[in-house]
Amino acid sequence: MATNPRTKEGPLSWWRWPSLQALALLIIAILGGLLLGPSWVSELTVVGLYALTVIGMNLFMGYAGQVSLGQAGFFGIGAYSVGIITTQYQFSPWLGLLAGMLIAGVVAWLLGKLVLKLQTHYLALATLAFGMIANVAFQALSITGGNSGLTGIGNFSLGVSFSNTDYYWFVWILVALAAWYATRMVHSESGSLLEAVRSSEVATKLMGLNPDQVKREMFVVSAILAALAGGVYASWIGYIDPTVFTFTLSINLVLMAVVGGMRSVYGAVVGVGVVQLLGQGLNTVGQMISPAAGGALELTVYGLILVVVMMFWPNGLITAWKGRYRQSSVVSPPSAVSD
Amino acid sequence: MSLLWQFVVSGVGTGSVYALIAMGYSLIYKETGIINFAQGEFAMIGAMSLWMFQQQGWPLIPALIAAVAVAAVVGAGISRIVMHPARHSAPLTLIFITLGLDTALRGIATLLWGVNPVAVNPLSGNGSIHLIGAVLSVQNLWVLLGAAVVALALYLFLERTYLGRGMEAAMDNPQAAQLFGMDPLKFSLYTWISAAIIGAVGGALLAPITTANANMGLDLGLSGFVGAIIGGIDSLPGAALGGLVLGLVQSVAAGYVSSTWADGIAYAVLFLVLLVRPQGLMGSHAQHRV
Amino acid sequence: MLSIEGLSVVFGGVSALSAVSFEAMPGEVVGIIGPNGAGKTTLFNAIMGLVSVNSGSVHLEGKDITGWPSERIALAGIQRTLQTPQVFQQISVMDNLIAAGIAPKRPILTWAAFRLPTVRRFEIDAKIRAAAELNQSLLREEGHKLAGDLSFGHQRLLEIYRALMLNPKVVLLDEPLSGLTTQESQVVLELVRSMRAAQRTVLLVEHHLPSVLSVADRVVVLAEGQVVANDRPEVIQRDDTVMRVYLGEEDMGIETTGLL
Repeated sequence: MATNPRTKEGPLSWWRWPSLQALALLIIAILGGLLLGPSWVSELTVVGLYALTVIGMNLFMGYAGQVSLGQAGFFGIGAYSVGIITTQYQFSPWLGLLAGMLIAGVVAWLLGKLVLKLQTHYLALATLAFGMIANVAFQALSITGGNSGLTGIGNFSLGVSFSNTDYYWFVWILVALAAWYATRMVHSESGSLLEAVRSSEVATKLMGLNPDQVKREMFVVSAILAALAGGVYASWIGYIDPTVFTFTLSINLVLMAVVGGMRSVYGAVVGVGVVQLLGQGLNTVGQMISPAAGGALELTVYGLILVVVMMFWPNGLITAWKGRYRQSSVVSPPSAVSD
Repeated sequence: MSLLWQFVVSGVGTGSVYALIAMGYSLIYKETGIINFAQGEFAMIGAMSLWMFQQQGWPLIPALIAAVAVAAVVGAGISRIVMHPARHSAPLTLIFITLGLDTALRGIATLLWGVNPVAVNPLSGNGSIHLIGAVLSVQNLWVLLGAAVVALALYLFLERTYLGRGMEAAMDNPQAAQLFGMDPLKFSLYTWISAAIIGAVGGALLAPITTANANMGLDLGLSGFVGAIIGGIDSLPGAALGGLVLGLVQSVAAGYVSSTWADGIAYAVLFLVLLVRPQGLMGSHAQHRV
Repeated sequence: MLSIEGLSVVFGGVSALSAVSFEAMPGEVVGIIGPNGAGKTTLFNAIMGLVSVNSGSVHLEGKDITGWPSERIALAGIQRTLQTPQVFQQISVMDNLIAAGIAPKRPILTWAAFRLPTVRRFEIDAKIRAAAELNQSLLREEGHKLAGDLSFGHQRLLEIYRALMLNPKVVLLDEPLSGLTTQESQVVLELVRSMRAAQRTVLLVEHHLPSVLSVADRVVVLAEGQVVANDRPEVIQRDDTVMRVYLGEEDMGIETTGLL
């Protein structure tokens, strides 16, 4: 939302209505699913899963101005919940999905109570530590299958078991819903409080609202969305192990969130698509050189993109393209209170 | 008891490498206000370059010096091309930039050297000595010695040279740097080069004990960072102490519990420190006033 | 009524406020003057719960609010503006006001996304009040602008309007005239008078002495963290010691920093 969406005279311009935008996204996804081949469908399912996660990070980082370097932990909680419930207990993966979201939400709420009062550097570190501890737990617990992980994770089914294409539909419906939810929140009158928290915590307190409340809600939302994505991922791919839910995943998620623009929900979706497809392209090119070079080339370019984008367009490419923000003021809130 | 002693002795070895890396974090943080998430990569560069030069058949000392020089050049490049131009960015932006650098350096290293761990020759053979019942490899002694020498050198540089005193003055007050006639660009350059050298020495000394690989920087960096935070990132001795403590805790935890959980314990300690005493054990800077 | 009794604040061994006591009635404008470092901003921070108080108390309408968290003090009816205006930069002027109307309700934003009636009710209420306030304000033509794009003076005004959205009993204005044009200054002084008319208590920290003397009912003079005088403006004006304390600082030409 680079432009100011609401004026005092009237409501949002019609093309910014959250429902219309979400519908448009869904139509594009449907067309994509019908027109593109199976390999693209799988690729775009991954894009959708990351987009789901990144929409939550957008709210927490872009709009509320916080930072999390541990989202892979929540993604993993969702994935392992589905994995454990279907492989160790033979329950429905749907139950696992709900359990995962619930657990992630509760963990985020408790964690948020402890760490959200910390300033940027320390918050980055505390969330990073959470991600690391989660990863250690995935490796060390027996219920998670240790380093070998879990295989044979159950498929979702509604009457019939989900096919690859069904997962695609399911994921993109979830993305559209999440985007609808996020844009509705941001555009609501109460959504102004997100910017209040990002812009000035002191001024927020002076309005009688503890900023930690808003931050914590967004942290919980981002955790639940990450767990949702993780749960669907586990069921779709069928096997998981701790090497998936690492610090590197957390950083890749950050990369996807910032490339599109942290304060643009649909920018985030585009950002994820660009980064993911670029990554695949680089991987393919790298594989031609040597088996190991694929991932390495991807890492190198991802890192450089993050550096370059942050140096020159700290508000993300989509935002820069819309060109409405003065660069400097955006990510840096005015310095603190008193004197 | 003797087992515990053994764990402590081994822990001091890794701990002193963490201490070096932690000092690198602390130095950059104090000089420029930046948390450099890429600090661990300097250790990786030091270790992998040492291996590379050894492969070329270089003798030990030139190989070691060359390896440290490679890291110094990388540090200078980062400072000149990225960090100095971006110095006015918001804290969050700077965090993302250094995370990007970390990722890119890891990627480049993997492209150059592959992913497989490589064995680096120890500085003086594979011997070991006995220390009141505990076994200590000679390389471990080198690590301790190296860490002590680097820490001392850094201390002397900051305290006894004109340049160093200027840098130290600027840690307390950025304007003071100008009194020493320092150009901010050079300033940033020296800081990053120093941090790179410290990290590279740590990595090069550690490599013969643990083997080296292109991915080692991430874990080492995070451990060093955790150490720096535990000790207090705005105090060089504090950061060093924090690194040592972390090494000890990890070693003892790995010995008694399991090496997987040892990492978890390190982060749990970090967590505790952040919540109870965010400025670290020896840090003085109160976190926020209002 | 706001009553401050024996308020002391110590920063790292240095006393920033010592035993400050005075009272302010509803409908009274109290000017607070004194050289830089006298403790004016610290006084505001202490009243607002933004710094911790070492001893003494703050009572609002007989209720002891000392040591409350700032947000609770704000809800109890005290507002303050900041020396560097802190508007919410990337939302519109109107949304800044709306935010202030909604914040005290502490809404769950997820319910807002789903437009639940409980949230919707006070959102609409806040919108109506914000529109009314905006229409009476100098910013009426700029309601749709991003607050960060406003001129400095207008940001300062917006911050005051935003504070008024909370319908405070007590308003603490911290250097509200610094950086304003003459016309904007007049608007602020007019606002102060209308706050008085609305039976609000106003504490005014301001360097521009003529403005303070013209608008204040009473002036409290602080020096080195202590109250050195507390009287009607006419009396203060004639007081040699006070004027020396104050003018001595003017001579040094330090106007802007206002440390502590």
